[in-house]
Amino acid sequence: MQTSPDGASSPVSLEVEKTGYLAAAAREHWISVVSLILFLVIWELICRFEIIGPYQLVPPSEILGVFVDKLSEPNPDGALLQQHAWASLSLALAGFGAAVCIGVPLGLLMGWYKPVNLLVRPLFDAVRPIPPIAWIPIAILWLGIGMHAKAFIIFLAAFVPCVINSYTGIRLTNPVLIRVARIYGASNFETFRKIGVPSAIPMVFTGIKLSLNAAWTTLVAAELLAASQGLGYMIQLGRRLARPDIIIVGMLAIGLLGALMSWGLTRIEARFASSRRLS
Amino acid sequence: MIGRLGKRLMPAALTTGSLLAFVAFWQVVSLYTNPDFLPSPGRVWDEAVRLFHTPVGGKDILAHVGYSLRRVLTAYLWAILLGLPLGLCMGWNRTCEKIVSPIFELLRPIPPIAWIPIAILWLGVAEGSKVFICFVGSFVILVLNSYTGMRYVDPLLIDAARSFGASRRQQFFNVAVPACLPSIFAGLQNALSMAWMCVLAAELVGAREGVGFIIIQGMDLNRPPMILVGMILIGIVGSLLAASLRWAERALCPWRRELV
Amino acid sequence: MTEQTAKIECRDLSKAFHVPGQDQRLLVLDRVSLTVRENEFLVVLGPGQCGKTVLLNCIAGLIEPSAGQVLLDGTPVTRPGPDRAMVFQRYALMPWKTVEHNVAFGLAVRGVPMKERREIAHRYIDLVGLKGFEKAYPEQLSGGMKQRVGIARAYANAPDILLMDEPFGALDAQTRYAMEQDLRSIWEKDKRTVIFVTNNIEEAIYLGDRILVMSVLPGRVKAEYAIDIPSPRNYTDPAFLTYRKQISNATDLSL
Repeated sequence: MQTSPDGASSPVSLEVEKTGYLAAAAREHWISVVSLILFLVIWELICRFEIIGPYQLVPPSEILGVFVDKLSEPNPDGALLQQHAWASLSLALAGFGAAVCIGVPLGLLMGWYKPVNLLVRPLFDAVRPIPPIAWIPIAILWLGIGMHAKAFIIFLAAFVPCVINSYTGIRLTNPVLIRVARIYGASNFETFRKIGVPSAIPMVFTGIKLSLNAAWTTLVAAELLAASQGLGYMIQLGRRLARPDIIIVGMLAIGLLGALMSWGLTRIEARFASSRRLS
Repeated sequence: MIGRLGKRLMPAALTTGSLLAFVAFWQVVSLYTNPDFLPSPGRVWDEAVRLFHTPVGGKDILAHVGYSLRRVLTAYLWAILLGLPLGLCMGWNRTCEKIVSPIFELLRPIPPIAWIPIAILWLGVAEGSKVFICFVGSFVILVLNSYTGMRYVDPLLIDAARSFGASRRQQFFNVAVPACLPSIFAGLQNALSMAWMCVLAAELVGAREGVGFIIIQGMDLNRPPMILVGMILIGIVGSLLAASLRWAERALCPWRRELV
Repeated sequence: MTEQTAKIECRDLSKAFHVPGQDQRLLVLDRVSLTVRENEFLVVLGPGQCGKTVLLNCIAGLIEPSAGQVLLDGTPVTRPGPDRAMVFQRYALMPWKTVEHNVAFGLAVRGVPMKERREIAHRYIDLVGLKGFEKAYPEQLSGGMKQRVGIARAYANAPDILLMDEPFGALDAQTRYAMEQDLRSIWEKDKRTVIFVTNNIEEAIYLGDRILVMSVLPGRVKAEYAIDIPSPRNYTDPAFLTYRKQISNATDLSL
């Protein structure tokens, strides 16, 4: 250790440790890259040596080609990749949007006003233990094979987390804040609007994210069962035609779009949170 | 004593009351709609009685539940066996995290249900593909929960153990693992309901037995009461599964009894 | 005090941390040197954020100093050991273990047989006045009781040295006085070498044989006071108040 004569601080040899830290971080990063490459190489080799046959798995090197082809080639499933994606996206977002618009206010009201809770609770409690996917057959009987049945099921799936999280969020409002508002003469509705709702926002966003996830999963299930377009239909057809390349491209598209939408929501949440902090 | 008993019975009473209210609501709605469209609770009850006496698709209705449960539990056990250790190791060891997480992050956004077609291609329509789907669904959740649980273990507890000279091994098994039991249990809970949903989806896509088969059969025969009986059965079994896990958590984590 | 009787010795101990998003590393301890005699009660007094905890962690062997060394009976410290036991401000009790098992934690780590573990644990639970709470979980205890468990856990491991990191910092004033009294009387019954870290002058004078005052970041030893008041001490004793005035005048701790 070198000690500076005047005894000022910074006598410790900091530089060595700092580079050591960076080197460690860089090394750890490399592990991830190597691991990912190794994963792809093993996958490739499994296909090249036909440990798993071409009717069950295709190598990653071909996936990219199929992916690009599907953007301009409607066969064998009758539509372009982006058409499938758009069909799925529009349906999922419609069901999800409706669920958020109805579910969040309903959950907030249930959490704040007892009579609303008493009125809605039984319906909600009875329906909740049944997974949304179990509604598919009855929805098809009720609404036919088409847009409406699927939208209904997606709505159901996305609705539940919205309600639950908004309800819980507003119930967890700090009672001291409510009392403060009351002392300053705010009416019940004003307290709800200015104290209850804002303090429930973080939980509401968690609920919205969960419900997006549920909507996307349920959409795939619905499209597997009854559809003539959409990514779920595409992978289902890929199975009938024993085309693993089509299935894997479809799965990747589903994963990618799902991840993109979650990322978008996180961005919106972050922006929302920062604008609140400023005001 | 009566107060405490009342406190314990209160939620049960509320749930029962709420269910009764729901049935009443359903009855009223069904009076004003086409009975072929929405059968009344009475008709669904009759259908349930009938289904418990006549086999569906050559099998007893409880046998169908048994089929689904067997698939779910097989997959669930495998997911626990593989997923929990993996998640815990990822949370504990940075190298392990760096190796696994890129592959895991690549596959994680794909919903388990989207694996159904390729699973059928790989493993056939029979048991294998259904168990596989349930496995994928519960595995991802278990890994994530045990991983985050491990990451959020209070470092102070690890320090305390270290200050008493605990070895790395002791820190892991005697401190870190018990410390993340609550989040492991949350994961077990979610993973089980996910597996239950996945088995349903897999059975809807193609099966000759199981609860999913019952409701698909109801749809094919155009019998709404049969579908509703199937749905109610699915809800009841799902709730029972969840309840049994809650019971297990209370038994295994006695220090949390006062909190919940 | 001669070199031979030094139980703990810190020589020019420095510690710097890497702060995420900052180029410069933060110097927390700056060439701290100190010695502690066998069975001495040393109090390290300083404001929040003066590196007291870091100093303690270095002595415990939980973190490695950037420069300098800690000697224990003349041998350098490289890792934690059963010869030192720590009491934490936030208790650091295992929520899934009963009081009894928390107290026996250090013994279990060392592989002491079950029966012996139980006996020792019960003895120290008695000593800190928690008889009857052996089977309780930490969540069911008050803050003061939790810290009693923390102290019993440290004592039960039969360490030569007790390292106490603001152990009463999270307690209310009433409980704090009671805990200070009890700690002092436990220590007098069963003497160990203690390093006690605090930001409270009264607590320091009440407990310590000797007080080291530290400066704000980077932490350095600023002053040293030997407290020569016989036990039992009293907060309103004139000698006590003299020390209090002397120390608070010398430091700018407006407590």
